[in-house]
Amino acid sequence: MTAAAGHVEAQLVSLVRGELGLAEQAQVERHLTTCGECRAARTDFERLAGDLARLDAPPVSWPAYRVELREKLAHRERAATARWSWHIQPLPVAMAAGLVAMMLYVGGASLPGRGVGQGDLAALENTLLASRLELISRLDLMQRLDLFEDFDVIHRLDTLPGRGKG
Amino acid sequence: MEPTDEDLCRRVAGGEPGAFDCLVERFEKRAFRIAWGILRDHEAAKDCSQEAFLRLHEGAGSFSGQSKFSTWFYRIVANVCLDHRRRARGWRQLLAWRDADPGRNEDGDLIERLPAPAADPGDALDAERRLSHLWCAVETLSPQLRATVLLACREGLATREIAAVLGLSEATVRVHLHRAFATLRRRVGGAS
Repeated sequence: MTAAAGHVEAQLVSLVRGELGLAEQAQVERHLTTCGECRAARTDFERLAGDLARLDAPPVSWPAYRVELREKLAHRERAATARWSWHIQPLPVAMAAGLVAMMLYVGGASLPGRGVGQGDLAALENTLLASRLELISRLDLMQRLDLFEDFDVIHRLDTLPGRGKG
Repeated sequence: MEPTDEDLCRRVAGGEPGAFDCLVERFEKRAFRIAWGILRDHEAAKDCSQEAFLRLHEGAGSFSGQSKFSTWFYRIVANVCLDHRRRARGWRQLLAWRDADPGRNEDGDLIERLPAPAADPGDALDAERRLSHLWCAVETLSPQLRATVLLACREGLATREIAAVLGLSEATVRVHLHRAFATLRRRVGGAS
């Protein structure tokens, strides 16, 4: 079936669907009166179009379908809200952090106890030093302890057992 | 007086409660049927048609009203389904679950290579079996040809509307319809 042979199969679907212009429709119908092959094709196409119109999808539980759709919609909206809050979250966090930092800076500088805190630390250090004064007063003796030990070893050199013997 | 589809869409965009549910009830069957026609998978058709409704909910404000609401919405459904098909096919190829066939394309080269029925089945089959056989033949069409033929015959869309839904020219739609009908005729057999 080619155009050269004068067949009109390419226009038959449009004819069946009623989408041909008047002139073209008349031309195709004239051809159909003389061409059994194209008439058979038109009959088949008409039957196919009718059968295709009757094809239906498998059954669906529409209430369940709607419930599921509602859930998906709610989930999508929650996700969108979460995305939005994620985008705007850094702003209040940064603002709050800045505010706290500013309060610490301003408030810390004007705190009356700031000097006292340093004084407390110094007092603690003094107390620790005082508790060690007794050791410090015997510093000479402490420094010479190692030396005394060496003297003791030298003194007992004769009585110490040799390395090789033992 | 019943609000039109276009009115309901505007109300959805305006956040009016109930408008979305109303549109869902009007279009759920058609959306599922189109999705099922393209995908031929119950779960995928359900998911894709629901996804189309979600996109409708999100993008109702972008409906300009220049076309019919149904045309605009069918386009969403078809796009979601064809995207789903492309993704699924991409994964299948990636995982080598199916041999990649370079000769296969959207225009249905596979159909051309399928053997014709050994005998004319139309004589022996009753109407129900003939429909079942027709579904099998429709299944061999590429998703785009299937979408074209089902939008034309099942949903009764004009060529101009199908072109708008599938983003094709009217000439291409006519070629698709002719190819689909010729293929189905060959697969299912003639009436005589």
